[in-house]
Order: sequence, then structure tokens, then C-alpha cells
Amino acid sequence: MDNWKVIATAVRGTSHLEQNIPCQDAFSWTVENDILIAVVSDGAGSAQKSEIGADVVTKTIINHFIPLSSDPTKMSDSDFIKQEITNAIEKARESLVGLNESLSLHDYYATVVGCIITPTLGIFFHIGDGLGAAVYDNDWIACDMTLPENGEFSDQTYFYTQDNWQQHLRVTEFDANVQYLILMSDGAMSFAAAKQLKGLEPKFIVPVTRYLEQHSEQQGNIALQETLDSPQSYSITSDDKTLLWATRLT
Amino acid sequence: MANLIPDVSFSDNTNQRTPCILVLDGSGSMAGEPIDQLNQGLITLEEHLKSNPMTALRVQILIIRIGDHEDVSIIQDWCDAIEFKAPTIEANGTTPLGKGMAMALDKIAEQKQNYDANGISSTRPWILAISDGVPTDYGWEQVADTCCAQEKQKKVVVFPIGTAGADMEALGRFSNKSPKQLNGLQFNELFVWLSRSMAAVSSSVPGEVVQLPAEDWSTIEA
Repeated sequence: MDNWKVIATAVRGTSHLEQNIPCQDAFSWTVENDILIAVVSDGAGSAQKSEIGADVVTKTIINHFIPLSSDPTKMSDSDFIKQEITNAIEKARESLVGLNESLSLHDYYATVVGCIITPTLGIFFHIGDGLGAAVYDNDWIACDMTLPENGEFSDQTYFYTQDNWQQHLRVTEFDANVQYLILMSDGAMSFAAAKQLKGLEPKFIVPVTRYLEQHSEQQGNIALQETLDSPQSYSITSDDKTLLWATRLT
Repeated sequence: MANLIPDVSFSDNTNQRTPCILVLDGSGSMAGEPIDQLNQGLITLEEHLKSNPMTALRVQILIIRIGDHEDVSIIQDWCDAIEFKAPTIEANGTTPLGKGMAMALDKIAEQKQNYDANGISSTRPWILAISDGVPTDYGWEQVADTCCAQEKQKKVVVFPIGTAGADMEALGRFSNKSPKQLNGLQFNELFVWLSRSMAAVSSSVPGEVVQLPAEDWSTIEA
């Protein structure tokens, strides 16, 4: 039995609902041999088919690591994992080329924030905005984080389908003995991250954690979706929102 | 909503601002109905910005009036939309649009330094330049070139908007985008669009260009 409980949801924001644009956030995750691999992607509002860009990268990375996860020796080597992250993203880019002859990679602009947690290694990989947090000992403030990278302005960020994407790929390690692992897109950061990104917002994440720990994955998914798709959430931001919550089971 | 997670608190922790400057033509030719409609439009802008909780707290407005004898003045210095009170613009004098836009660029640079010093993130600033005439100040062309250059460097977004009688070619010099012609005196519609656009920008949808609402206030592009 795998030792991870994972609950995740992506909800379309009201601004996209009003403009009849699909949800441009996507997520995917898997647990293989106690290794958690999880990815969240946020498609750019300006790109024609960014929802496809987000969908492709999340699924490609997961599918790339599933067979690799059966080799514990290789998966205990951080250099190996980092190289394979690059290979997986390159594979996602290649699969988009030629998908539609009238479109270029720029039409699929999407960010990437993900993690790989083995029994001994914790690795974040990150292009663009969104956020990842590795939480220990119920300390929501002093957690290990991968932070968003914006350009000069907050409405600018970086994408895996831009030409110089490798310059914006940030890979960081953290202690694999996490209590909770959280990934989120930019939309959810408004209320789930603390002010000035000094950790996570306890008033949001503590009740969410309490509920998700006490309920099944199925019920948790439903409740998290409804909570992110609530009028309270709309009042903060009209953006798409994705939140992935994971915990080790003892 | 039967499955909401209980006791969850939603508070807006982003510390982001969406700055917007209006450079408004207060020259003599705007006297009468045009300036009345412009002033009514500013009241509409105030109402709409304040009625949306996102724009009320995130949008910052600055208003520059050009007119009199080559005069450029800040009618409303930077303020949060929630505190914005629509000013009354008077119509008298000339159209020093170059000077007005130069001041707008300076105020944007100054505010960006302020944001950076205080750890405040911001969206790319907008400048709306609204005029019914021809720029009258010496050297306006150089300022127009600077606006285009800064827009190309993605430091600012400029929207030149002309009413009837405006020199659209001159206005067009201030942006890499085509200038827009206002339908009659539809300032109300323009400012409703601006408020809705600010809402789209301030909700920080990442990307290079924000999906803006349809411009129902403009005629077909010149």
C-alpha cells in the first residue's frame, strides 16, 4: 500500500467563466513505490491553447516518471532525477510541436510547479509562478518553499514553452521527511499563501488540512473543489485556482 | 454548497497594485458638452472601481490634466481606487499632450520605485491619453517616441483615445497600438470598459496580454 494521501482540484475562475474560456489550470499526480510525483500547471491567459499546454506538461511528466520509479537506485540519485525532469519537459514541448500546424509553442504557454518525493529525496521543479511548500511539524510559516518567478511586473511570468525555458527552470531539494506537501497555482496563492509569501496562510490551510485528514480522498476532493469554487473564493480572485494537498500516511 | 470545508477563512494576502494614469485634455475645444460628458464619465469610473472589491483595493489612479497655457497639472495624485473621488476637469487653453505624457511616464517610474522599496508587486501600468485635438507643445514627437519605446520594453501600456476632431495620426504616435476613436461622447462606456479592464488586469491572470472586454465605446479603428 502506498504511503501517501493526495487530494487535488482545479476550478475555473469567474473571469474565464464570463468569457467562456476553459479552465487553464491542470494538475496530475501519481504514487509509485512510495514515490510521490505531482505537477500543477497554469496556462497563460493570453495564449490560445494554454489549457492544452497545461494538460500536456502535467501528464507527460507523470507518465515519464512512472517507469523510472521502479528503479529505486536511480531514483535515489538527485542528479538523475534533475536530468529526467528536463527530459520530461522537453518531451512535453516536442509533443506540442506539430499538434496544430497553425500554432506555435507560444500558443501553449503554461507554467510548471511540481515535486518528486522519494523515501530519501525531496525535489521541487518550477518554471514561472505558482508555489510549492514542504511542511514539517505543523509549521506552516517556516516551510521549505519554491516561490513564483515573475518578471518586472506581477502580470508577467515564465513558461515551459518559451524559447529559453531552461534558464527559468529552478530545481531545489528539500528534506524528504515532509508532513505535508502543497502545490498551488497563482490563483490559489491569493488566499492560501501568507502575506509576502512568508509561508502558507494558517487561517486557510489549517481548517483545510484538518478536514482532508479526517475524510476520504473522494470526499476531500469534492469538498476542496466546492471550497475553491465558492463565492468567498470569487471575492478574492477571479483567476483559475488549483490546490494539491498531500500527506504521508503513518 | 453542502460540502464546503468548515471554518476556512479567505483573506486577500496579495500585496499587488494595478496603476493607471489618465491624461485628460482640458483644452478650450473640450468646453461644453464634451467636458461635461468626460466629467460624468469620471464619476462612472469612480462608482465602478469602488463597487468591485478587487479593483477598489488594488487599482491605483493618477489623473493629469493638460490645458491652459501649455499647462500640465496633477489633478489627482496616486490614490487607491477605494479613496478616489472623481475630479471636475475644466476646459480652457491649449493641448500640451507631450508634456502631459512625459509627466505620466515620470510618475510611473517614481511609483515603481516606491513599490519596489516597499515590496509591493504591480501589474504593468496603463496610461489612457484622451484628447480631441492636436498636441500643441514643442517636442511632443520626442515624448511620443519615448512612450512607444517604453511600451516596446513592456514597461507601460498606452491607450491613445481621440474624440471627434482629434488628430488620430498624432495620437497614434504615442503607442505601438492603433489609436481608438471614441463613439461620439461615450465617455461613460469608455470608463466602464476601463473599470472592467482594470478588474481583469488586477486579478493577475499571467501572460503577456490580458483578455480585455470588448471596446463598445469605440468606432472601427482608423
